[in-house]
Amino acid sequence: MKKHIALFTVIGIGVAAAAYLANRLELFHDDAVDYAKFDTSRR
Amino acid sequence: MIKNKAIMIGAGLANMAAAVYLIQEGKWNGSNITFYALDDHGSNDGSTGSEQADEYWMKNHPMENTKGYLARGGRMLNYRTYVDLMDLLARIPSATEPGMNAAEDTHEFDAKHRTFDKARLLQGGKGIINGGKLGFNNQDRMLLTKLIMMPDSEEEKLDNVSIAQYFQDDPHMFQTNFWYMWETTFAFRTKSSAQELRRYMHMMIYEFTQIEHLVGVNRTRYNQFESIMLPIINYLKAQNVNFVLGRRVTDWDFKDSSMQDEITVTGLHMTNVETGEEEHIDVDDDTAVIFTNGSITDSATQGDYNTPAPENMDYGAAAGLWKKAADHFYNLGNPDKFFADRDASEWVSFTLTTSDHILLNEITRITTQVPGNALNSFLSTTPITPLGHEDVNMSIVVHHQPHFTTQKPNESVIWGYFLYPRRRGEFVQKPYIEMTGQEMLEELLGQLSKVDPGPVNIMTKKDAIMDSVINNIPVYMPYASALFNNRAKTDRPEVIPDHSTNLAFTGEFVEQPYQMIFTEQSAVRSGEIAAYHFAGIPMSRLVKTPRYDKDIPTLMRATKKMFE
Repeated sequence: MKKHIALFTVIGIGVAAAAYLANRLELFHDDAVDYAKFDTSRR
Repeated sequence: MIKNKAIMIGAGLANMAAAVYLIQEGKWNGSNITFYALDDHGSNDGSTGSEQADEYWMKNHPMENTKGYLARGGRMLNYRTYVDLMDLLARIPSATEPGMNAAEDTHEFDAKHRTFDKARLLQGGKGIINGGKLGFNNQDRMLLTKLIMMPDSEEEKLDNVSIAQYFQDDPHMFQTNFWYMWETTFAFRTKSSAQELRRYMHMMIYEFTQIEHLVGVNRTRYNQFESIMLPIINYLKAQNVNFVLGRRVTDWDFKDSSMQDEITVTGLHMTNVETGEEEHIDVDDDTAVIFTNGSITDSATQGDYNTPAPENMDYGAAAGLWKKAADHFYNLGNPDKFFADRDASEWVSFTLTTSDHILLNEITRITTQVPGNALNSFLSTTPITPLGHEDVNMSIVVHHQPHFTTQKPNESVIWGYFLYPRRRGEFVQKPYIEMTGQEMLEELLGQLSKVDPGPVNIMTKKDAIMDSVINNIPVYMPYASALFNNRAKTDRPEVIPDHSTNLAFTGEFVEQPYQMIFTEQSAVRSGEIAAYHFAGIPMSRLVKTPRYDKDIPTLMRATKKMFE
């Protein structure tokens, strides 16, 4: 049981750290969005 | 707003890039594009001294000795991050290498002359320093990590924060090998913007791991004018683009609008600087105006071997015009942030031409590397900063020779600069800004002699070296680092400002997502965005910017490097 708790704790911390890192680095941000407002191709 | 004609104010790299993309991607006829500018090189110059002696900023400062070559600034490329520049160069034929485009020209040269700097930092008593030891303490690491971990969306937190302020509780940062190399590689000063330092830490994070050898630096075959600007000029002229040079655009006519926020240019006022006549052109509804709103070589002046470069107090042509637009509309930034703080932006550079290779060979011996590899920075042995720290006195770049196509085989050209021109020389007891070309050479020889491993010191050859000088041209550039000046995000206009119907801003003083300035990359990209906007080309076709700051292996390597 203790082993399971420890394992889940480690996994939980790992996932939280990865999520924090992904958020700070904006890993899932699409850079194309930053230029969309200059786009005149569909006007 | 889609247009079919364009007026370019300024003929630097950014607007030339815009013209190339309008022609190639927008399928415009070149004759629909007209440049109005003082000259056709902007900050990317390089020519004989006599050619530059006749230019606009020198009209009140005649040079006595115009011999030799001159490049007011130097450029180092980085293929990995200068993707828009390389895309541009791949679209035009080389000016010097038949059968190659300008990108192939640079790739071919660079592949045969890889940069590997073995003497990035030198200091009296120590000689070549191992710059690979960055010298951080834990506070340095923590503050740099904070910068690297700060996402683009939080960048405003660094509005109006200088690098000195960001590290105010950590003066140790400014005594690290990292800082000595970073400030002289990229020309950051302590008064520069922490916001821009953050962008560099993000976009150049790849280089962080190898900065002591400049492995990622790529170089053009010749000087930046002949290898970058001239191919573009040749191409645009062949496409019937109009170049009207010797013009200083001085004021705008804007359309009146009920809310006074619509930005529509209806006319331009300009001075023919050759005749002094005032001119005016109308701007019709179908014409875009693409304006490079600042130049780091505006107001630059030259001296010669026996004359220091005079100080020109002119605000700058492009910046002056920007100021008039910014006075009219609230969302076009604040040019004074960049052009009214010379203490933060000024540099002095010099271009030395000799009639033989004695000095070149001596530098090769002392730095242990052949010409073409180096950016050598000389560290002081005494405190020279206001915080009482040692710092870099001067830096030199010994190009692969020849650096100019007309350079004779016996001639050498060396470029150098002083990032803090009001500091005093160690060997010539006066501020660098007051030095003649001869005194700058004496200062350089003094620095070289301090780090010379011997057994025969370079000073034993001083007379022969001085006799070999054709000219050493000092240049005072009041705005050389202006683009790094402390700023807020709103201090620079966007490439296409809100409510603009026909005016775009290009160059190094515009706000673009995550691009770092003082790179041909950001200049070219601004022109590309303006071209795509006015030609109705989807922005999805912009060259993709690699984001090494989001690449986990790169970040891991940078973290490891921080502890070396």
